Amino acid sequence: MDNRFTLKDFIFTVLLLLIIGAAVLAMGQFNYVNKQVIALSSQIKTLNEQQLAQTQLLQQIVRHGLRIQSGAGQTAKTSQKDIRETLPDGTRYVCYPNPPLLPHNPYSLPDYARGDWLVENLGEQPRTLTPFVARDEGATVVQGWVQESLLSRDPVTLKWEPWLARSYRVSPNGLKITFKIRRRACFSNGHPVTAQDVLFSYNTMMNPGVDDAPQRVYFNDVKSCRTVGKHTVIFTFKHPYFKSLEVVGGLSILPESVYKFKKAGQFNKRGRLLVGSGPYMFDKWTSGEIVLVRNPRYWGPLPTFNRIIYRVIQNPQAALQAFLGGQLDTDPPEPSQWVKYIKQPKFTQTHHCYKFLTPAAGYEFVCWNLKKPEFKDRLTRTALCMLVDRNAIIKTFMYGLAQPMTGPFNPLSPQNNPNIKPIAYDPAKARVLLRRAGWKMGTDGILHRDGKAFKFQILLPSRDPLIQKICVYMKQQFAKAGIDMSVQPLEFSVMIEKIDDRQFSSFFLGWSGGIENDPYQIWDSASYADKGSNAGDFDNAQADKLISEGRREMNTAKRMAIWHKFQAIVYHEQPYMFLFTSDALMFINERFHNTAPVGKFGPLEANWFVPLKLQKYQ
Amino acid sequence: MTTYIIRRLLLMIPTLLGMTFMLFAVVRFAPGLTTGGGQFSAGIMQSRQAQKQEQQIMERRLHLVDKNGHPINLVMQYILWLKSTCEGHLGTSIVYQEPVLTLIEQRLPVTLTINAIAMAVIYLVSLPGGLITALNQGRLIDRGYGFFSLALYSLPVIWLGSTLLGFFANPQYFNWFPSAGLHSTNTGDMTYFRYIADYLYHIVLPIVCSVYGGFAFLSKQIRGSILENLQQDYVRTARAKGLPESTVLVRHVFRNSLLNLITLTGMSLPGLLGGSVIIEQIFSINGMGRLAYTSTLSRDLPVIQDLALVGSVLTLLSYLAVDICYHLADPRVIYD
Repeated sequence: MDNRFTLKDFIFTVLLLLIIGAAVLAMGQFNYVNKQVIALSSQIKTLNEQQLAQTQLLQQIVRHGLRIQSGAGQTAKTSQKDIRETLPDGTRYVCYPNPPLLPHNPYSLPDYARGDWLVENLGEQPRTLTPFVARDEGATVVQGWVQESLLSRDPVTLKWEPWLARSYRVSPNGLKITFKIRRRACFSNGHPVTAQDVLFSYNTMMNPGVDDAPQRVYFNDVKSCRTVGKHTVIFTFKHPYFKSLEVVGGLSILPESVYKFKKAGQFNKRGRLLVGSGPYMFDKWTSGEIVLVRNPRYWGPLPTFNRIIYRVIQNPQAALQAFLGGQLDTDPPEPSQWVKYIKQPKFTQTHHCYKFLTPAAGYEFVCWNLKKPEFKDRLTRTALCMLVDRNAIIKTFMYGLAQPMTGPFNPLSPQNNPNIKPIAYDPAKARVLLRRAGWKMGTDGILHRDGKAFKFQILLPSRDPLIQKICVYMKQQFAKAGIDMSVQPLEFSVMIEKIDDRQFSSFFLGWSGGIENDPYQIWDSASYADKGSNAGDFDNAQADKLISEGRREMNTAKRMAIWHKFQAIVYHEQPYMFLFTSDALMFINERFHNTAPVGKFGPLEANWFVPLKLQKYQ
Repeated sequence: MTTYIIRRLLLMIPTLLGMTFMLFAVVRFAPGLTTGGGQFSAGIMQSRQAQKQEQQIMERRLHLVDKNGHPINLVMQYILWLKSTCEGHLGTSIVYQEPVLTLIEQRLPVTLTINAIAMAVIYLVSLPGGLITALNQGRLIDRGYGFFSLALYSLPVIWLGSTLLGFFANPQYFNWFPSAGLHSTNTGDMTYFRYIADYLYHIVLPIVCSVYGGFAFLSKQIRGSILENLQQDYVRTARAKGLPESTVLVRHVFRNSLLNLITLTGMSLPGLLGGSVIIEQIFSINGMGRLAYTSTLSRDLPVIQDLALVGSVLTLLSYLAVDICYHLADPRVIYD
């Protein structure tokens, strides 16, 4: 056996060592270059900050002439007054010469300082960031910092106020809305926001090739959009509709110079192109995070944070730990986590903890198929509702962090009828109602009517363990009264197909919310046909009439009265078992100040700041 | 040998055809195809009109209908798909609106790094582990190693992952590791070496999770084949001619026992590309596993089909590679 170390082995070893050495050297070289780049970028950062200071100074000069104030400069009173009036001919006219500052804004607080980063969690990786096309909640959050619309909603009054538009005018019949765009407003690339950009955004939204069908239907009532000069846009509508102002005023305005496209397919595929007039600019999107940087050209009050970073942590436990470890600045905890941590004084003293209900929150419900004989009468449906102790569900499964629902409107929304009280848990009365509805106890311990046993199946999405627990609880409650409900968890898409094909007795789902909902989609009898959203076939002529009246009523007070009446009918008929709406929960790192909830939307990130001493990132 | 390889390559064609057809059929018959698995929109809170428009677009993109809206039959759909794939066009994701290749490019490096490191660790532990336990057959060290590696093998990853996360990335217990992601937030200010260190620091827990279950299988395989080889005549011959025991073990027994490893390693190569959904979910890693999982849920047909296609092609190729390696490593193996 020849085991000696030969020349060949020697050459191989030397070569190997050379390669390893070269790799190490290359890494060192790379490291050195990297250091230089970092040094350079810090210089650029300093330059940027100087530019920022100059921009601020210029903004102050533009606003108040040369009377420069010390301190943060956003607080001075404006010389022009805001106008909100109804003209003699009935035209509504609102004009804000300056963009409205947020209530409780921090600019005049003594320790207010710009700087630092805000690191939050998106929970789920957005699929795309393309405006109009993106549908994930995360994408909407990111877009909210980068893109703006003509109007913005005031968090306290919930009214739409001029934002990119300086003023708007609604004609007496509600068929024509005229916006005048602020001359100061500009996109982050320096181009001014013009009427042409609004028209471009509208045309993009209406382009059938653009993947935005769910949003496009809201624009069905828009008859035309035209520009007059550089700064005026006029929208006209086919019918008066109470959401007209919201629909066109809330349209994100895209810079035509950036988004211009020849084929709609090009627009759909620009998943990483996000440009707008907002306070932040889209910087980069790596696999784990989305980075936004401050827009130094921002036309409105300069935003506080240097960067906003959205990380993607799906696991709620990991997200909470990342928050505790300082890797995230906020965390919306799960109800169980909230209950656990809120008890620890050490935690509550060092973190901001907020629990609040927002009017935009959706609700959970059970829908009965009113076509089925067992659910066709309202007495039975009311009895079923009385058999379920919703307060117990909230207490046991939601840790008390939810509110019972009385109808399809959020308790905080002006749409909600405050006189309606939730149906109380009352099994004895439920039995009486069931008897009156014609149900008789059979020998098998199950209720019977017209020779048919009270047996049905409830469909529920299999991915949600909470819903499964609630359904099992309801099954037990129903069983006590002689009703046999079987629980059938299904994959979401299979469940939706069954609901669309009306192959169900009942199902458990949640609707997402809105401040003022249009009940047409879910409750009008016309929405049953053709796989519409009125899956349970709620068909009530009086309700239909109220819905169509409400949709055409432009006067808010009168419209609310109509919705209240509508809600009373739904309450009386009980086509759904309305369950609860969940509280929003939020933990915030203690270095942030001015985080208290504002109005009805909870804490507003735009109001937060970190005093200079506490700042963590450069 | 060349004829053998050519024959094998030709045989791969019908196998692939069968595989792709199975794949295609299974995916097409899944419910919720044109509603994007219901994941497309938030719930079903959208009007019927929007749903319809959406469905039409989906049908056109999935080539379920032709340009004029007439339905295409299943066989024709399959042929069309096969044709475009053979021409080298992998599909475009319906959900992400990006080519599947781009999606793979974004996610593969993450998965590949974790799996490669995990595999290296498994081999580094299992090879000596198998050798030592075989030489000490029946003794405490053999039993102990066998017991512990099997115990680890039987721990569910979802439990261990959550436990590790709950104890070692939790400021309330031991805040040793980050709880999520692959980087810190301020990587822009890091030098190259710090960046690498930061990255390695972030993947410690995921690697632990992908490693611990792998010891048992590999060690047992090696232990078995060493024991088998120890009984062989050539070992007796080597000992009889007076070779030192270490030479017998390392140069004769261990070397021959490694032949088995070729198969094991070859078969696990395609697995390197597929991430573990559970590990990626627990540690919030955006890898191949998550891509496959979310695509399945949202019925992102092109992605599912192409991922499975790439997987099957790689599996077939690695089987071929295994056979060739066998021949190279052991000249006694002849295929012709």
